Amino acid sequence: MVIETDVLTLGEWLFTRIPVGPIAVPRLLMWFVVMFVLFFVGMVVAFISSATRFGPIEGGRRVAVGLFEGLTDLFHTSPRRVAAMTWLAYKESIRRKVLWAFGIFILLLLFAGWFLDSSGSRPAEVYLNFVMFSTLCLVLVLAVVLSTFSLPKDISDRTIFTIVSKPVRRQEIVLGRMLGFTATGTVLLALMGAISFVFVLGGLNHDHRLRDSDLLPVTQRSDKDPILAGRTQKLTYGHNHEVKIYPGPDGKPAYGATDNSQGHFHEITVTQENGKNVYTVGPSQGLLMAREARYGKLTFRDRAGQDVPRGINVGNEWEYRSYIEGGTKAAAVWHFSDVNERDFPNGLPIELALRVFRTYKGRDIKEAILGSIVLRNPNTKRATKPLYFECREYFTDVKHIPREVYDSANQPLDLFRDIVHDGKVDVEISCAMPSQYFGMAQYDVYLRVVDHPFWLNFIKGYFGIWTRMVLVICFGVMFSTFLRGSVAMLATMAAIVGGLFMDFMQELAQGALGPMVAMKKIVTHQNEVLPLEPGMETTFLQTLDAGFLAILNITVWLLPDLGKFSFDEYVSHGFDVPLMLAPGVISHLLTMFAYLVPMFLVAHYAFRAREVAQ
Amino acid sequence: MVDATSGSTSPATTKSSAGAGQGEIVIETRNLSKVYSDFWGREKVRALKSLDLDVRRGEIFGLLGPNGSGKTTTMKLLLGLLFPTSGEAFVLGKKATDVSKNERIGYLPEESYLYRFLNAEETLDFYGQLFDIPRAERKQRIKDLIEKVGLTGAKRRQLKEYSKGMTRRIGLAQALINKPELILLDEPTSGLDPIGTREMKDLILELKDQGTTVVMCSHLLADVQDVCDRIAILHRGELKELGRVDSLLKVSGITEMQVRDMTPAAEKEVKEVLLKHKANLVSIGQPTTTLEDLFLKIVREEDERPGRRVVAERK
Repeated sequence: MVIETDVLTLGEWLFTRIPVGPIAVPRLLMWFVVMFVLFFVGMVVAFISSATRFGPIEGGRRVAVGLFEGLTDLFHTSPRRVAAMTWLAYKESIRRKVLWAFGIFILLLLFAGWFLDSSGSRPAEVYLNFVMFSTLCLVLVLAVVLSTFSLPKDISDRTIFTIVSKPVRRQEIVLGRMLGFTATGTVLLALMGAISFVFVLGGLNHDHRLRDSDLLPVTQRSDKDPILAGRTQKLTYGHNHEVKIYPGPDGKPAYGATDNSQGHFHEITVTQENGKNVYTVGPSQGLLMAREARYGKLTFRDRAGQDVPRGINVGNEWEYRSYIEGGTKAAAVWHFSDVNERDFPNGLPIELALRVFRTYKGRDIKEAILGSIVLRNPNTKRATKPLYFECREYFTDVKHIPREVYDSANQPLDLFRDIVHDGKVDVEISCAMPSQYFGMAQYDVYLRVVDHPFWLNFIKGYFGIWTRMVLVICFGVMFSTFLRGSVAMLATMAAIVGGLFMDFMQELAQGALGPMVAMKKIVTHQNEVLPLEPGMETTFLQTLDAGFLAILNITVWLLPDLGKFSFDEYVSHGFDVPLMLAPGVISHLLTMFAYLVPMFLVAHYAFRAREVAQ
Repeated sequence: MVDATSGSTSPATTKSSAGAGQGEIVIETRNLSKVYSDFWGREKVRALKSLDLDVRRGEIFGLLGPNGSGKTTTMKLLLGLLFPTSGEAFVLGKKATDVSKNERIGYLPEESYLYRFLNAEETLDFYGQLFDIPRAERKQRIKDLIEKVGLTGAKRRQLKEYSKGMTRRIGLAQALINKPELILLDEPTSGLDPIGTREMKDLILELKDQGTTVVMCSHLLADVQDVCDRIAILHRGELKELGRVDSLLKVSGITEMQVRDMTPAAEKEVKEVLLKHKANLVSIGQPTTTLEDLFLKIVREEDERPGRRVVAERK
């Protein structure tokens, strides 16, 4: 799985410095700075609009009074009234037949079952990505429609009159809607999640047929070996398994298992019926998992053995991974810390998902490239002897390092006494075949600490969808406090699109070319690279562009990056969503609130300033 | 005198014996003006020009005027639905834009601005929760109010199924849920049949007996004359007349007498007495009852003894 931001603890994450122009500000402080800037800008805008209407002194007075009264009103928020407004919003959304969205979802799932390819090498990924993506789309559409039309409808129907003439504060009306629609969305999301879960289980679950005719007795076996081996019959899921059957205490075939291919295996039970063996292949296991991964810090050694921060670039544009050359002293070194006997009583389970870059085909293109793993004590530099493995692309290899290991002289060592020092251990991986390369990123190799239950991770994945839904709802309600329904909907959709394509927007914002200059160049058939002829017209266009790019930069700064709130990859790739790390559940929750608070305040003041009877 | 700032939800107990119009000031406007402007700040309509008004506790105050006179604008300004362009409005001692004053007021709009997807019970429960009323008391009030406005049979039906009269009645119930000290009625009798109108007028008088201050705006002059103690007449945003109904409508210089069992001989003698005192007899004849009284009498008789009524043509 690709993780492009650093994995940090919550404490580290809160105080990571974010560069702003020449200085770098800790993240937590950054929020206050942005809030202050927004407040200042809001005050300026309010003053200008008030002063044009009432003159500078009276206008200033009105702004100050409005600010102060707004703040005191916030302190009079009553949970009872908010609860009543929440109930109203919830009832309104249910009565608007939002269950139609649910119906569409069921239909979608039913049709998708025909088209989803479960015979690929990663069926779980396909199914999980599909259900999570379709849930996200439906839930976001629902959120936009619910949240943007409710308040404007209240105002145009004038039902708001009866509300405003009661002792309800404006922020309670806004907050009630945000909470009420969140409640509706949560209920629907939970239902969709439950049905998705059943759908995924049903779609992935399969068994195979196994008969005596598929198996041959194993010759030359010892006690621990199976007595029968073979392959299952082919099934519509496009694969079959190698099978090993073991004897029971009476020497007859009793139980067995398939191999682990296509990301899963099955257990087999053998019963006797009418003197014949009946093989029951159990459900697939291992397809749906949630591995807790512990990551280390990655450094490299170049081909001369010198320590360098990155490996070489074999020509890839995407610089997420760097490479080491095979057959040289080049190695990728992961520095793990916090490795202890309590977490790993039986040794270290290391998982590797490396890339291979071939400069020649070898015997055939599918042949695996040999690599080696060495564990080294960072203090004494004592190392295990190399453990060789076959590296295949797009394949996660699991290597279990037992407690009893051997050094190069075949002397026995204890992993925790001799190799791990103060919880720290270095894992060095090198490529053994000359002129072939291994590619790796920091998060491609990890220690598999423990497996958590999949259903819990599934819920955490849906929590990722939930945070995005809440953000969209609050955007919608905020825009609807000062815009007409349809305009609020457009604005919210723009925020969603901007949030989903944040990378693209950032590229645009940091680029030098703006729309006015580009348009001129297109219309006059000039090429992209050469600058325009200097002159008044060019300067004018460039000034407009500078303004546009400034606005774009501010938008990129302010809009939440919706893609980063997603845990879909964690769930579909089988990694546990962390609670206390960033990115993780709590860090995302905090980020969500970091956006919700200013949105609520903007909605509060915008709605207060509005004369509902106009 | 009830302390207007105590925030209590029980109505003022000062009876009208203090003399409606003599009590403390419940509503006060000073130079209240409202100008509707468009987005660019240009003036569109001067809805209200410098209104100076006060309403005393326990009286029934009427805001009269033709359409567009500014009476609905005044009401909306008092409720906080609009913000004044200049001038001030105070309700129960607080600024009209202060939402906390709404704890003690009730508002019956002209149309029913209620949520049509709720039923009567849910509606009253919802609005009741917006006030500071203990839960048990709220439930009891809802029961009593539904019974009082005669909607017990329809309390589980959604408001979108209600007739106009039923909607007006549930609107009344929500205006009274908090036992307000001051109630604002926007065109309370418009669109009602004579029975409904009579019931509404009776209710207004009943509210006054309980000490509630009533402000109503209407263009149905007869209804206003029937119930209001003081009126203000607005025209094109300006206050044209303000004062007690009885004193405003008194026609000075003319005395009215109503006599029972007057014989023709007595009539002749009275005319001579008047002539002797140099008084001018303006008119003498039989007074008329009102059409409303006739209508209600017929309806009442019909309820008591259903059947065809013999109608004699009267010349």
